[in-house]
Amino acid sequence: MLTTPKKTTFASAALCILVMVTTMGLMAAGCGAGDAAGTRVIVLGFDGMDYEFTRQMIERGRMPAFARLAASGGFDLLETTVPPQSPVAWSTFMTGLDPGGHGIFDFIHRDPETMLPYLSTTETAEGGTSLTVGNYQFPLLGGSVELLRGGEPFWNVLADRGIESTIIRMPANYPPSGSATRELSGMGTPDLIGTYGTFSFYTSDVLIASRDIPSAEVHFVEPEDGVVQTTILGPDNPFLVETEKVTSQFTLYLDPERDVAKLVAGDEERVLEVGEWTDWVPVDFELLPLQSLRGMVRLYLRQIEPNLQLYVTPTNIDPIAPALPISTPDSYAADLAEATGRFYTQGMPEETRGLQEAIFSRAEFMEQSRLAGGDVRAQYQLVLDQFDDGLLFYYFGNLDQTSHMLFRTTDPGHPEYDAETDPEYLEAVEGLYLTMDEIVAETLDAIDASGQETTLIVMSDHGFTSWRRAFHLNGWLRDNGYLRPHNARMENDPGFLTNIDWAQTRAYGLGLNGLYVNLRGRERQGIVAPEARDALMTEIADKLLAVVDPATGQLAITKVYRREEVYASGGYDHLAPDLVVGYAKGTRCSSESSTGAVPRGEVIIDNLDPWSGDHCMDHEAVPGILLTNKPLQRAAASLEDLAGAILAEFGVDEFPRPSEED
Amino acid sequence: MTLVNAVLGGLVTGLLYPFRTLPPIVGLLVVSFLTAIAMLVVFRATSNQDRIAAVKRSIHAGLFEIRLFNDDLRQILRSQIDILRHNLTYLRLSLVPMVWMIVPLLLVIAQLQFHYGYRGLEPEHAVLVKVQFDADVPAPRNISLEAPEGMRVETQVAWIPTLREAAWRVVAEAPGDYELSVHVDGRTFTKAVRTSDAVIPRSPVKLAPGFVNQLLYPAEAPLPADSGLASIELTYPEREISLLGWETHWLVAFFILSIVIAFALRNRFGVVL
Amino acid sequence: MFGRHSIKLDKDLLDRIKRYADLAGYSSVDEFVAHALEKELAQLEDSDSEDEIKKRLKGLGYIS
Repeated sequence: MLTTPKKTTFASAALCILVMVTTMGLMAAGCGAGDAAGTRVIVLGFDGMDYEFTRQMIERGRMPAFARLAASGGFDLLETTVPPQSPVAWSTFMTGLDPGGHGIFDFIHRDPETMLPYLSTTETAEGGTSLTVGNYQFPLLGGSVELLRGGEPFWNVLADRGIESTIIRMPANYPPSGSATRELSGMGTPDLIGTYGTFSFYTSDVLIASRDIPSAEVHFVEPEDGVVQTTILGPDNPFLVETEKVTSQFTLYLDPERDVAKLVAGDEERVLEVGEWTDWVPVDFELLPLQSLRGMVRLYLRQIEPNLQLYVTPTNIDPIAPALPISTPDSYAADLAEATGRFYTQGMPEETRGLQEAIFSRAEFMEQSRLAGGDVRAQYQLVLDQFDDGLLFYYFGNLDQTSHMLFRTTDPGHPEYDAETDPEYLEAVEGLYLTMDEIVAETLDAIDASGQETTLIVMSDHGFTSWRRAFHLNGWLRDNGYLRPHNARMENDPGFLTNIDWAQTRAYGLGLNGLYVNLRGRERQGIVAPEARDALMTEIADKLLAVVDPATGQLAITKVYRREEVYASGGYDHLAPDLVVGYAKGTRCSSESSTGAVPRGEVIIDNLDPWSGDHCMDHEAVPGILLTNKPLQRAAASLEDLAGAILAEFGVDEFPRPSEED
Repeated sequence: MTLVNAVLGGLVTGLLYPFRTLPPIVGLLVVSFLTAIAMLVVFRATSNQDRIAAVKRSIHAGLFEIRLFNDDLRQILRSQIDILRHNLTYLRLSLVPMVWMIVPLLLVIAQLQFHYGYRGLEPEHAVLVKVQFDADVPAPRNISLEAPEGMRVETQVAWIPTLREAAWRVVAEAPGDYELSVHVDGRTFTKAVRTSDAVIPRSPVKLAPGFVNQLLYPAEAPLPADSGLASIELTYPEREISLLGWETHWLVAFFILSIVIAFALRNRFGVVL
Repeated sequence: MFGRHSIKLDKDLLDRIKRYADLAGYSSVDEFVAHALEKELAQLEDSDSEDEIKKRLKGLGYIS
């Protein structure tokens, strides 16, 4: 008897609180949405779309949709970041902060304590404690992938106000932030073995098989009675005590007479002719009996006779059963795949390495690039159809990656320019721009058809130019007495800062634009006293700005920025380069120097790599683009302003928001 | 056997005809319902109901003993052994109706597999056609695949001597029912292809004649006896059935539904299960 | 000198070291030996995760 009234009281109190909380929640949501309710903003991010090239194409009347935008809302250049590299630029775009605030300064960072270079945006942490049983170990705490970018993505503000956002393939957003309504991760998303993309190549050609190709697994295979049984390498088996890679078997049956083959991988079978690509083939890597890891690959049968050449894409995370988190909500990737088919989930899917290593011809690279771009485009139509209100951001990376391989075709002055074949591929570069124009046209049509007021913003993170000359920054530092290699005559410096005698080195280069002082108290074996840093930086900067390229008679470096001058201090100072080198248009840091090697010989050399276009130069030389279908409520002149300008369309006054410590 | 299949196939197809364009689960529910009733009737007619009831009582008694004497370990062990023994008896008693049911059930399942096991080809989605040759016939000199209008053969033939197999990639361009022709050294064999997604019989493989082949693959008439071919296969994509939002193989859904329905109706039919 | 240790080497090995130190461009035998040992040590110290990091980095198209 005694308990009944108590229960009732408790129940009514709980009910009251519930009603109150719900009402408050609704009111808060209502207030937040306020005047932004029904606001529609579409942002198309075209990585690497160059201002000057676009302007000329519009002037020649080849990009009518862009011209329409230019007329209605405006077409301007968009100042990019220092340095103008994609992970840096996109991190700035999404946080509204300069690199000092988000901590991404370059593609490549180094840990000053270990002096080990690493990719700047993500870190894969090993699993923690594990339980060992016989040959197996069972991870008790799963390994995790951590995003190293700091700062707050601008769509957090929308989420707080109850406004929907769809963020597709935003670079430097892997794993996805989780705060957007729908998200799919983009650049920075690894393949299944945790790299930016490691392809496999199977061949019976001894010469190719004996080559050491970075970011590739090359397998020598010998067909027996026309049958090849081989494996795709997966990641290390986390369950085994002894490190061992998991594998997925497949069999290829060759018919050399007709240049056709049958592939069998698990339950999957495909028939393909020489020169053909398969669709995505799911592959399983067995970790334990009954426990496997799902990935997927596409295969390209390059030739059967006189020797077998089979290319297999990096093992991508299968969006239908993702082994790692690639979307918000988790099921979104599968929803997309079920609607328009499986797609590349790896960050930068264009197989630039294949062309660089002559595994692909230029035509083959273009075909692969077309496949990768096609996935993204088909998906855009779906996402655009589903877009109702709020914000839609959609990223297109195909133009950037393809331009890297083709941009010399725009430049008869490039050392590798081929007057015979390059004009044809110049059309391909223009074709990329035309495709972007078609995408804008589709978007404008969709906006018109919706009958709803929509702001369309078309932007790029940086521009593009021909990369003619490569600058060995570490070679220059050596020649000028700032850096001493252990072995000055080493033929092939393996890089990774291993050939540097730290006891006699005052400054070193790493990454595509970074220059660091070997600072005592910060670098593990630093020798420069903190009070001497400033004078050393001034001295080096002055000398760099005076370097003349002997081949051209022009300055090789047009800007050198000090960290303090261009970056706010956001807790990442120890990662920031002390100087950021702005190479003159057409000159870029050499690959060797970027990875911490000290190349011998001349400091400035011709760039003979098929990677013939680039943008990691003086940021003023490679601005991005900004087009809108109507004047924005708040103008944006630089990438850093753009997030604030997008939020202003939703009635948000302040971004970046002051952090709690402030 | 071909005649049995023709009759049974006609019956199943006829039964499912009204449901062919509805979600697959609807027709499957009807089939499961009918199967449950059939199982109950067979069970009642062929099992020793009195003994089953007695054995079940003994099992219950054993369970009751365990609860009652839960402080007497020896008694508990003895009761458990009794329960095990009665369970074996129960299984033996159920064996008789099982034997009666297994053949018709297998025939029905074989028929249902061709209705529910596969999806139709989607237009522009490639599939493989594989022709398996008998081990003792010489390799063909000429082999080709001919597609009717509305379908196309996308590759050359891949002749794989180690498997004695010829394979092609084919694509349906539009929904419809087609017949592919395989030409082998002057003779022609056909294979049916269906691309609609309705619940209709699909045959993934056309086999050489034989009792087991016909039992397990009843949806298409066999190849001529002297063809020299073991099979012509077309890899239809597999279909999953949605059971209350859970995607599963149709056979799992079929068994769960049949058993649940049979249990629900057992008293109405006066059957002790 | 403080912290220096002399290490005994087989005469034949020392001759070979002298020959190759010069060929490989080292300014002294000491430097060559130190670097060779450092490289060897680095390899021993190199954990799997470091290898992985290097491999990941090499996949970046910007650095061929």
